[in-house]
Amino acid sequence: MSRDTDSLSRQRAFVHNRWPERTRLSAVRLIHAGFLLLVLTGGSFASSVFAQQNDCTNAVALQHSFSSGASWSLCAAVNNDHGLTVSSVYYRAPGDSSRSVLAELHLGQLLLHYHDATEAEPQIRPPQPLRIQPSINATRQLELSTAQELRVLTDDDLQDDAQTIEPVRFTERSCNGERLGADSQPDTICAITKNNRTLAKYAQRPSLNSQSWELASAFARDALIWTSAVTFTEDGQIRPAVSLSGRASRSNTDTRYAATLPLPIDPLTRATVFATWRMVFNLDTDAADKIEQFDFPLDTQSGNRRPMQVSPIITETLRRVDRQTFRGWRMVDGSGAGYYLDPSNNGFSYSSRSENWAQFDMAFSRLATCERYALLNINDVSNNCGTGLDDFVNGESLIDAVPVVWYSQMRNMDLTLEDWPVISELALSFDLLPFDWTASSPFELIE
Amino acid sequence: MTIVKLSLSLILLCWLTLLVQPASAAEPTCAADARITEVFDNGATWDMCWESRIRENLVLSDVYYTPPDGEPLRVLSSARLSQLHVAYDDSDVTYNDVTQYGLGGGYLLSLTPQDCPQGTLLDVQTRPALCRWRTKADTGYRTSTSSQKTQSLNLFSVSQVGAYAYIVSWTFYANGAMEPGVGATGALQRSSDTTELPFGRVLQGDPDTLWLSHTHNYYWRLDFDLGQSATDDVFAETRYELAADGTRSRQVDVYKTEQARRIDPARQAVWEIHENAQPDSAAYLIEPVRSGHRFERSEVEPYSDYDFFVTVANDCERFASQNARFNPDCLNNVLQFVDGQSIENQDLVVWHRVSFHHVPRSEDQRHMHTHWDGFMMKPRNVLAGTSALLGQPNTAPVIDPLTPRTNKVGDSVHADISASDTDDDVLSFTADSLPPGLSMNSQGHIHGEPTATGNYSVSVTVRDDLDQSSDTFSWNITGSEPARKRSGSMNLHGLVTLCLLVLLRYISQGARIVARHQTVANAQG
Repeated sequence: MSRDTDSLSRQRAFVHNRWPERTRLSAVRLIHAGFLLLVLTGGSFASSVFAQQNDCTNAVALQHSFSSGASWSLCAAVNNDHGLTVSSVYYRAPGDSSRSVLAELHLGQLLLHYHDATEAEPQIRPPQPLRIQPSINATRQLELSTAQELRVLTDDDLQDDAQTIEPVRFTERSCNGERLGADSQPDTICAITKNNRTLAKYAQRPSLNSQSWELASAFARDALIWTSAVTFTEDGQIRPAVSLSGRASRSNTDTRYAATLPLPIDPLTRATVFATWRMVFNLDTDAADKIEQFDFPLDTQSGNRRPMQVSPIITETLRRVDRQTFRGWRMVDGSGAGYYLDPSNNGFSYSSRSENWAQFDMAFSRLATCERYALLNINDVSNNCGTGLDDFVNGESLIDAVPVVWYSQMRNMDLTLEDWPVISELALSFDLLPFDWTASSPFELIE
Repeated sequence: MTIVKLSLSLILLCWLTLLVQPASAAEPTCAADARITEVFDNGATWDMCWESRIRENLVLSDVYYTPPDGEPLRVLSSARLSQLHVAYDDSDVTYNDVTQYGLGGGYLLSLTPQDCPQGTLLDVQTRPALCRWRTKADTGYRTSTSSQKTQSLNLFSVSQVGAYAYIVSWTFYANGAMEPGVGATGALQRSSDTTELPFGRVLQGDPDTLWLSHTHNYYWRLDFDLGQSATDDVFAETRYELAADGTRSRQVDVYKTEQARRIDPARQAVWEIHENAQPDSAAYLIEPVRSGHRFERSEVEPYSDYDFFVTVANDCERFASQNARFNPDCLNNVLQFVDGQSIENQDLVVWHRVSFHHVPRSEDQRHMHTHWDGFMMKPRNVLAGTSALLGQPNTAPVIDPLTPRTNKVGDSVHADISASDTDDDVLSFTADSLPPGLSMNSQGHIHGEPTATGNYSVSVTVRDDLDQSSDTFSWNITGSEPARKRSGSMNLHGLVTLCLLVLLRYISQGARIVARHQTVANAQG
């Protein structure tokens, strides 16, 4: 499938040149004493709206600096289709320059499968002039080009689907932090600075403590409230998270599918949440980013050793978590600097009767600007875009291309008294960890 | 003799006192300096005893939770980290840190205010080594107009074992949840000069050293004593399997004997400990969310094949591995503890393992940033609802006046129900007993085409985040065009009847005329 080329090169032009290794290490040594003192005092600088080097069209430009000298800068917007989007994300480690990490990150789809239903309900429903009939064929992507029937939505379809979401406007009661947003969407982003637990400790050396900076947006779908948030830690980690709260309103008297609560509460229908994130990395230098899969299979023939196997991913593909081999993925720049996605928080496997991509935890596709949603992607036939991941992932080469990483997680919502009348937040999160981003921990003196 | 009588009386008094003592007092029994009580802003309370032991270090006991406006619930008899198993990928070295070294005693680090910046330091014997602080969870509750993060109590200590510093942490949330965790920091432990080996990574700035990858396996031992009795807890495994028709149903297995269980990601298995055999009794749920890595080396350590164990409480079964080293009369590892004993009417102990595979990265030099592992235990049917946790006033929404409606079968109906809310909450609507063919969406819009006549009493409910209001109105669905045709035929029927009546009248009249003529004729005759 042909696709539009994306203008990542334009963004790269603004990336500061990476310091030569030796220069950077020297700088680290020189300024460590200063910022270490600041780290020890545990202070931080507030986030601020600023004019950054990036073009934050229809978004707000933000920067948050920590007392150690670490900082994050990015564009943030709340999209009426999928909530919070962060783009042009740069991280400055203490003593380092500001270096690009992500071109874009946002929710790529949210499936809510009520257990009494045969199909999951996409919670992200971008406007679609045309819709493809739901397919029950798991190999749909193979047949898309030959036989798909289209139908025009009726007025009732449009009305019932509530095409766009209404972002929650934060107030003092709903945001215990700084309320932000683009001019057209004030107070739709809540920014909070948090004290993290111990960053590092060794013997009797005093602990290093750190902070993190969270950006969150929320939207209502029926009586449910979805929060999508991204936390940026002082040491360069990124933690996307989505959580479900609000009010459970769906009920069913069949106890196979619904939790029985004391009267007069109606039995509440259980559901499975399947959240998919879309990440476009733009790591460090202009060199193309690559994807590597790490596996550590147990070799019982050689004394139960676990040799590391690193496999480059060079074509579009769907992958599963492999808990036994400790599988993980590294996104790495030509400079060697990278980020690692470790699926530690992936304890359950989603399964779907209708969507092939939803049998998998991970997908890698080649960047196309119109490929934004894992399901119900805008079906603009003239742009030759597909309707979702089953169309996007079709074996195209990732060599010298910008890869897009789609990562999914699931949890079940089995409601109890603790969820009435407001659901105790059901959260799904994962960590993106700097991996050889700096030559050593930038928070300590190199001795 | 008097002394003997006095002694006997005292013994009798003591025995009677013990007899009338409840099975378990509703609060921990320990000295004041060994007791931790945390009362949160919403009134929820955690209450427990603690001690530091040479091997396990922090052991919590007599753990009680009191919900807001609720009664104290005994949750745990004891809780501890029972092994810290570290296996290197080259398989040359395996550590069982708790039993080989220990997390307490000389391995327990003294802490300074810098180590516990927002909390209070508690002494272990004569030195500060336990940090107690109140924090907030990342999650809580969110409504359309408000948000509340759950407050929590965190306790942690730090043990230096070799190059690693382990932060042993326990978090108790105001909503009744508990979260044991371990943070691994310090420095990388093992390396090799043979850099071409496939068991680790060469890090920046040190081309001659291969730092070895390894797995941390954390085993926790949790002696549950939910509720009044220590011997009526029940263990169940719940799965949510996808059926062929696409639905997903809940299946529960209640176990009667000791168990060793594996995570089951495809069937989405979770584990619950219930207060008793009643399905709606108070319970704690353990979801193996952090199971993206799963260590297994069954040839040499068969217990590593499993993630979750339930055994009958036995004081000499303390450590998940190398137990016999300190308890020579007992079995050696947790899989051996699972030997088919009945767990009915027994005191249950849960053992849970979480694995983390650590691939060295350059940032681990020279001192590693902490990587955290642990799991959450969530209460079920312990709270009376979430309102008290939210701690906010709320006014119920009010439905705008409803008036009776009339439509005909087949009409295209579009109608809106509206309501107001002084808190400006987002409202959602539901309706019961709508005429067949009509439906209402959550915004209160009713649409469709009625399909059957009748007079329906429609009940409408509007909900905000916390409260709801209901009202009813009548909806009369009358007949449509076909019904009017039936009305026309009735008229025709009436006309025919009228004609028949008229005809009968004429016949009757004719008969009377004929009879009169006959009478007259007879009289003339």
